Amino acid sequence: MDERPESFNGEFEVGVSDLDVGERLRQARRSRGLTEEQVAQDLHINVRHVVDIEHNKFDQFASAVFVKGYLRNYARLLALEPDPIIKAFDQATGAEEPALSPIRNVMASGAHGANIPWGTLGTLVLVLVGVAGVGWIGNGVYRMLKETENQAEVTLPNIQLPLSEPVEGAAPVDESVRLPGKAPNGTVTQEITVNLVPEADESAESAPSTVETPPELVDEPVADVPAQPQANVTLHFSADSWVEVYDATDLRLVSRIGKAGSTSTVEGVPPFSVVLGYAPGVSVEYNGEPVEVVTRRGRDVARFKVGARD
Amino acid sequence: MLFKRLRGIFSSDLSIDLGTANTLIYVRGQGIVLDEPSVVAIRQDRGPGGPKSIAAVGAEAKAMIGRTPGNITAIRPLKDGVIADFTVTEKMLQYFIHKVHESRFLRPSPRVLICVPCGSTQVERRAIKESAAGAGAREVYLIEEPMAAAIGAGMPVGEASGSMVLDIGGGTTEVAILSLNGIVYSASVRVGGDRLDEAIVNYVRRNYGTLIGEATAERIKHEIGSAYPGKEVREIEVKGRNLSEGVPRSFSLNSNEILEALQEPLAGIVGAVKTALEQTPPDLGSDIAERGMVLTGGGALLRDLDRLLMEETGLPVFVAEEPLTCVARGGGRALEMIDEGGADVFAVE
Repeated sequence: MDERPESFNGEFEVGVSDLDVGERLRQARRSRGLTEEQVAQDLHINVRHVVDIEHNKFDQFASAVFVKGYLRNYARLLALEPDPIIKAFDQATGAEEPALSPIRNVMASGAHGANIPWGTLGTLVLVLVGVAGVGWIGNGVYRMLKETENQAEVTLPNIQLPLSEPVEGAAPVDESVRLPGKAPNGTVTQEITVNLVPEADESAESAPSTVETPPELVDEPVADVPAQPQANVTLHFSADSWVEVYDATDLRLVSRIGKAGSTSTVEGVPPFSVVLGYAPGVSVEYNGEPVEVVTRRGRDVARFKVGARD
Repeated sequence: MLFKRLRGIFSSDLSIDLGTANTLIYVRGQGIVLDEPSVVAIRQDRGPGGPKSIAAVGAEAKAMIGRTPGNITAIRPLKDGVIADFTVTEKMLQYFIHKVHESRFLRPSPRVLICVPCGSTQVERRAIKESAAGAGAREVYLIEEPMAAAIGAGMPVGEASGSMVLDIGGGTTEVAILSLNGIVYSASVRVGGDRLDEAIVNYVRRNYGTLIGEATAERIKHEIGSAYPGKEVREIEVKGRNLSEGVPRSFSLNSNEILEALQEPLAGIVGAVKTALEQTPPDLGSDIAERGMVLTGGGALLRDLDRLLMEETGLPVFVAEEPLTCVARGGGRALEMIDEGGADVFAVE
């Protein structure tokens, strides 16, 4: 119901005004006794164009601007007022804007294109600054997350321990992994508990490829492991220095200023996170073995881990 | 630099048709916002060598032409389509740009596109660019006038077919043949509305022994000027100073006399069109013969100019819609194209 009158209206309007432009001109021409050829000669256009105009075939022309020009000249020749005819033409064909659209296929030119990215670039810089700011603020949060990751890593040494005995060669290591896999869980648990004590770092190097496989086998045993491996860190102070040591369970073992000449030893679950306020004045031992303290260039503060395996 | 960009956010992009006779400014999304004569009235206080100041710009200043007291001079800073007085042009542009941004509290810093005659030299283009920059523009683009005129007239300049445009301005007449967004041929003759006025002044002095001013000559041209003999003869009553008696006298002129007076400058325009057609590659020439030529610019409003060109060349010739604003509107469209990523149509500076 709603659509019918609308479509009818539209058709009606277009029909009348379409008819108007060409028909009006044709009637005026006939009343003056002019032929199409005479008009074409006077307007210096092709006879075909005169016929097209009188039959409202405006799509035969390259652009609306030409049709309007011809219509104007034609109307003037017939001593008609051009504006109503142009108006009728506009109504019949709708907006004549598309005449400008061919411009769109212009290629971007480098010289002027260079002006464009500034806005984008500015936004990008702003976003980067924003991200950097958030990152800086969230640094503490990030570190906390890192620590909890370390905690997660702790489970790995326990799992890998059984593999530390058949050290040489990758192949036997692989086998040793596979075998417990086929065995019932219980046996694995036993193996683990037996072998818990040996140093973690050596075993890690021998079997890095096996890390992924065991966890699913050993889910329960890990939870069961009663004793965490213990290790110690000894700090010798040759100068006053702030020191902070956390163990793998995120337990703060020490957090104070070490006096020059003193020594302190802490025990806990490796790996340890160590912060030294004045690194050149402190020498560190891990399970009795000296650890090299690496500081950032030009900085006295050192943050590092000991007893970690990658 | 950064602050300029910030101010740019609060400014509109402008397309300026910096013409010898009129300056038009088109603002994107708003249309033509300013159409004023390119005239500046300068006041010089305390005798020669004293401080100069701007007394009026635009329409107000134009009304002063030929009617100023000794300490005020109304000048047109552009001559033949190019800058004759750099400082005054800069001041005028500054005034117009401010006028367009009247309601803003920040000093405007818009992107500006200016139309230049295709016959202008590198030095003249640089002068226009720099006076726009001096007037506070953030970026200045130049476009050749016939290109802007054709875009503004709605011609299919992007197609691989010839489009011919004749832009008759105040100082120059530009004729160009365009195809694929480029200028195939262009020529600029320094004949325009001003030359027509001058021709009328000279004719009246020669035949009536009477001196009339430029403003009167322009009024005569608008009211009874025509380029082709018509059926009706129109008359106008004008007043001028009789050279032999030295007192103002009134007399009447008719359109046939003005037609005769305009013969010489019109021959210049027709000659430029014919030369352009001679120089056009034959394929483009056939496109133009088929479709015709478009007239833009204020000169196109001269009665029956299209008729004259039609008879002289045998091509269909017609006047674009709103010929006075074609160039400014075309420039505005070109500015939009900058944002669409295509900026092929710009003049090399």
